[in-house]
Amino acid sequence: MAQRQTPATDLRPRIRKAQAAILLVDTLVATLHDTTAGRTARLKKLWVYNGNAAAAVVEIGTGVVGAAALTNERYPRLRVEPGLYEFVPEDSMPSFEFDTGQDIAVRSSVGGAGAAAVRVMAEVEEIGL
Amino acid sequence: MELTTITAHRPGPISPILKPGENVAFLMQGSWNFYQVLMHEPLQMGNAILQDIGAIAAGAASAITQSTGVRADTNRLLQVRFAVLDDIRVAVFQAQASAKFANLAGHTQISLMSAQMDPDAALTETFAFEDTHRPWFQVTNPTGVNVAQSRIIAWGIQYILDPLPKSALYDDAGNIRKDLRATKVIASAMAA
Repeated sequence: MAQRQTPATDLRPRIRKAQAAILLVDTLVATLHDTTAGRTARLKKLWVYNGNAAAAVVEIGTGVVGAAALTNERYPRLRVEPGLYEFVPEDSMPSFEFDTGQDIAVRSSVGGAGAAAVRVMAEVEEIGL
Repeated sequence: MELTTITAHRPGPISPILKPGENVAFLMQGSWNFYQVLMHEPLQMGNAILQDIGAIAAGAASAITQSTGVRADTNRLLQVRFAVLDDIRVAVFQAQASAKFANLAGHTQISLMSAQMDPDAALTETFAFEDTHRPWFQVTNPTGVNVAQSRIIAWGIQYILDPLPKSALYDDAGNIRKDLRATKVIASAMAA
């Protein structure tokens, strides 16, 4: 795994983006953030709501949409109890930098249609041109 | 005629490069045009010169579209800078088939990142004379999601000019008048 330097003064051009929350209706891999080609991406904030009747364990990393498992998990798993939400603010979010153009994938251990879905939303910083 | 200071693309916020009473010369379609500056006024960064090219699908590019905001009346010269409000890349042309900000490596584009490296957008500075030299834009959506709008803003200075007749340019001997040395040259190309 490549490790990038993030000096205290990081002057690389960047923008913050938040794509619409996604609904995880099943336990397959989905795209949390579609990273622009040529840019790297860092997760800055994460919000997960579990509408399912069972606890949801959410995984974040890289993977193929529709696959049964992520290719690579990049963050520790997040457990969200039924009917509750977890919010990871910026100062608690590690600055892992996904490779150029690499989408951020997500998967939940439970899913369901409508109100039973697990909802995930991220604020992402894209770095590059 | 001596060439005096070339003042386009100065770092810092945009400011007039021509003063009332000064002469200005610019090269259009291969010939020099001489004018005297009567006055100048600012163009606000407002809705009137904001242009929304429209929705663009992920990874797609728009047609090369003429600017609807950077328009000058007769005998007026615009000195404008550009910025974008959405996550797009804008290639500027002037004329429609003539790329600005391009070299052998390709056509460099204005994006949201441009403002971070060039906060006053000095490198985007463009000149347009009358309505026939409007810039053109081709907008690319580099992201993986569709964008619903692709906005380009402009702001700058408008100069009201008075054409210098040939009799004002040449003396009786047919030589360029020496006081034209006080002429500022616009280095930015404006093709028809």
